[in-house]
Amino acid sequence: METKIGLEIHVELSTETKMFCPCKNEYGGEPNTRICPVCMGEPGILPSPNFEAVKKAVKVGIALNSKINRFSIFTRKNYFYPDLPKGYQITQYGTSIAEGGSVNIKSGSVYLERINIEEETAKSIYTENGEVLLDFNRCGIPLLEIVTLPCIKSPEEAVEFLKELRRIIRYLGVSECDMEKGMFRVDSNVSVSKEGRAELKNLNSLKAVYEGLLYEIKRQKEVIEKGEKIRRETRLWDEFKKETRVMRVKEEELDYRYFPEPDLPPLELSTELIEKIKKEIPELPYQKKQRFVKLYFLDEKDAEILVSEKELADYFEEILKFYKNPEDVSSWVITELLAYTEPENTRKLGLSASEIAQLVKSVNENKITRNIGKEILKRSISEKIPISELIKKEEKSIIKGDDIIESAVKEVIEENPDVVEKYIKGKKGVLGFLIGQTMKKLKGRADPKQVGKLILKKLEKNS
Amino acid sequence: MKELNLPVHLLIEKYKKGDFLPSQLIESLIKKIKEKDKHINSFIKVFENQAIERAKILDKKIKNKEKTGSLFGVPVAIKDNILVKDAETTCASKILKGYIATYNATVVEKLLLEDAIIIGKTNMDEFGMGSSNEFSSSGPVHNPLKKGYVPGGSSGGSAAAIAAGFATCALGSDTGGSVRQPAAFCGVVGFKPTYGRVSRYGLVAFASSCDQIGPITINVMDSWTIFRIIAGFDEKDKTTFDVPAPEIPEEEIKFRIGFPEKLLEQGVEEEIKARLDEILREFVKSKNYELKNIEMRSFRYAIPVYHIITGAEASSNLARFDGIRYGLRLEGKYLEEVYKKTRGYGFGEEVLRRIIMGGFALRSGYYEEYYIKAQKARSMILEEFMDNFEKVDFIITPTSPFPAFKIGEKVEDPIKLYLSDIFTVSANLSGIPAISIPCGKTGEGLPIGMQIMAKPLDEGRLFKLSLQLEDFIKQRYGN
Ligand SMILES: [Zn+2]
Repeated sequence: METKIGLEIHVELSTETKMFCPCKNEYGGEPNTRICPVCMGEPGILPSPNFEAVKKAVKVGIALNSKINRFSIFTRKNYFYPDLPKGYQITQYGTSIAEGGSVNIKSGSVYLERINIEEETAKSIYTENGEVLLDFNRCGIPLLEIVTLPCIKSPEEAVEFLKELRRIIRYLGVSECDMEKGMFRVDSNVSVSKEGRAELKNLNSLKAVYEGLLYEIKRQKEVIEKGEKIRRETRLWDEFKKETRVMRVKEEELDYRYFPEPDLPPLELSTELIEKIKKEIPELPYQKKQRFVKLYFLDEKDAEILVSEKELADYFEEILKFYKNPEDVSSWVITELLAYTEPENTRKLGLSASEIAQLVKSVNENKITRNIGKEILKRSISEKIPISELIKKEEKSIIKGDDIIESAVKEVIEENPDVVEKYIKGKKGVLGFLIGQTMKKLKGRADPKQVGKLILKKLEKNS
Repeated sequence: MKELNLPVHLLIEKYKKGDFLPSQLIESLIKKIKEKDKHINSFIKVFENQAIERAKILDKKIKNKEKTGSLFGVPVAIKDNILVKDAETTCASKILKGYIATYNATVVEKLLLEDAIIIGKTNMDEFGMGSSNEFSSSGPVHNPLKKGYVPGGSSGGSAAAIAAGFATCALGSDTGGSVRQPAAFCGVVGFKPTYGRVSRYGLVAFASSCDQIGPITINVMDSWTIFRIIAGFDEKDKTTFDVPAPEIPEEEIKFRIGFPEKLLEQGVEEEIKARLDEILREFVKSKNYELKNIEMRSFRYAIPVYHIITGAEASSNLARFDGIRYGLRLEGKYLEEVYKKTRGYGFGEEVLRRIIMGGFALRSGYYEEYYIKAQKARSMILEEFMDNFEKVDFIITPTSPFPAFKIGEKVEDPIKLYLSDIFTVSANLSGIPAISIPCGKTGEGLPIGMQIMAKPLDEGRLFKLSLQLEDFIKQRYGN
């Protein structure tokens, strides 16, 4: 039995205005404040396509290696639902803005069928007393529909593909792709045999995609093992019960009565425009990763983490401008900085690139110890004190004169005669312990290398 | 006040000379409507106070010698499927009862900018679907020229209002003849511009690819005046053309006129056929124009093609009337019941018939057989027109195969009623401009209309010929 998974992803484009009217495209806000006759589907209105959204769709198409169609048409998809004010959604069917394309993942490529431009529906809000309220702020926001071929072989691959797709779109700066805010939504179709497949809806997070697919594959295999057939149906993933259940069977599928949108002429793109957009495509994550490995001699794993978000990668390179030491900067960014925040929010910590550079440099030049460096980072984040100020303070308090250190060394040697004994007998490894003890006494305010030197000097004298 | 029936330029001249003020005209007009529209029912709503208020503002313009627009003080009636801000727009349907327009249609904005006065909203066939103005939630309209007869449709109210002298000009909408046919039935001028000439923004859509707003007026010149004002590219309607405004050519042109004689052999009333024949032959002779017999074979497909395409579009365009956001809502226990009750009660019989038929043509499995086939036939019709326009400049037909008929006569037989559009729908399917001008009356006293069609965007020459024909006909048959 061969598992085949196809995905359908809806991405809300971030644009100044909505797809077919001048209302602002923003998330949330006081319900029904960003509406007009057009997005409310009042009588007599006509749609005016948002060219910014069209250009962003082309950008995505190019970045995903799709063929951009110079002519595409808008289509009406007809069905009744309160969140659909006109009784139809303007989408594309038959002739899309982009066709084909692929996204590379570890195990190969995921191939795309098409990319369509369409409009978002209103948001239904279900109240405790059983009412349904409608918020049309969301209605008419430009939406991309990205459809893959059923070529994904496992839930793991599906998740990896979605992560990469989301990352590429975020790199292009055309959508925030925030799944919690519904800006990146996933539907799926799954089959484990030649006949019969199920559509899977309500996959609201990557975890839901993974668990939902896993469950559905298992369910279908069990049905077949029992000698039964897989029914063609749409199923809903229940995140709480961890199961999929039937939403509607094939006979109940809606007939959308598609036909070309008569209110809009075909969407025509000049080759010049397509070429211009091509030039605007930024370095994509996989390209950036290769460059980091080659240029900065980073290992693959670190490079992968650094390019996971464009914001982080840019931040990393900005720090390098102030202190060209890719290895140590990457180590600090990955192990220290990312302990405090998600990759996409590194800048929100409020630390300037030059300050981070100074911190790494100070540690490397033994002006402060690594531990103190970490301490400084923590204080700077929590107390909002500039790193440079903290480093200055620490530098002042650092013990440079040999006499204070020497007396501490003396104390440590006196307190640990057995360890000293071991050292003398040739167990040189215990030196680290002695350094650690001394540093503890000095509350870390000394250069461990200097401490080491002085211990060695003292021990040599003793032996 | 006998000045009520003046054409636009004469009316404005009277204002300028100080013979009377806009407010005086509007007041007597409203008095006349109140008195006489009871028997005609051409208005759904008369803007009594608003029109007088606006007229008084215009009065001051005259007194202060301010700059005035080209429709200064001209009373205009607007079909009730064209939005006028803050006024109820019903499309003569129960389902839109209580819907107050939140914006002005682009054409209304343009008229107001030229200092026109909107006198009211006119009756119509519900959502523009009908040819007799009998399908209206506000009741049927009576032909002002003959009691008990229909005024044609769907812009029956607009045509009747002009024929009755309730307004100087009116706007209608023409999806398959809805401006031209009622104009013909009421003995006035009705014009459907090239598709894309006039913005549809604010026109409640019946069939988006065929709908076009057009003027109904007492003469050809007024039609031209209104057309020039409402035409032009509109940012809000992406199907409008960004081309220069048309001009009536001044030079003499030896026009070639096409007349599809064979087409008229069947189904056209003898009196109408004879009248057109007579006028054309003599007119052509007097002008030394060329009259050519042409073939229009694709016309016989026009009615079914028209109903499949407009029905399909209507089924989608009218989906928004669901009782959720505006207009009528009948409550139900669950969502589907709200839809069924609201739409089942809110739409009239003819509208339901077309929605069901149109929805059917779009169903998967039937789409190719109906909608796609109809689209192919549609391009054949356009091709045949364009072929003919290589040979002739205009094609002339009767506007309708028969004159106005009795109220109730055809209402039970939709197919018969659909056939009254046989000569008009092709212009909508192919997007070409077409005008209907009066050419006398039948023995029974019913007006006869002549339709002149031209190639796309050729309105300038179309109006030149129409003015000449109007002149010729008036000299011969009087008014
Ligand atoms: Zn809007």
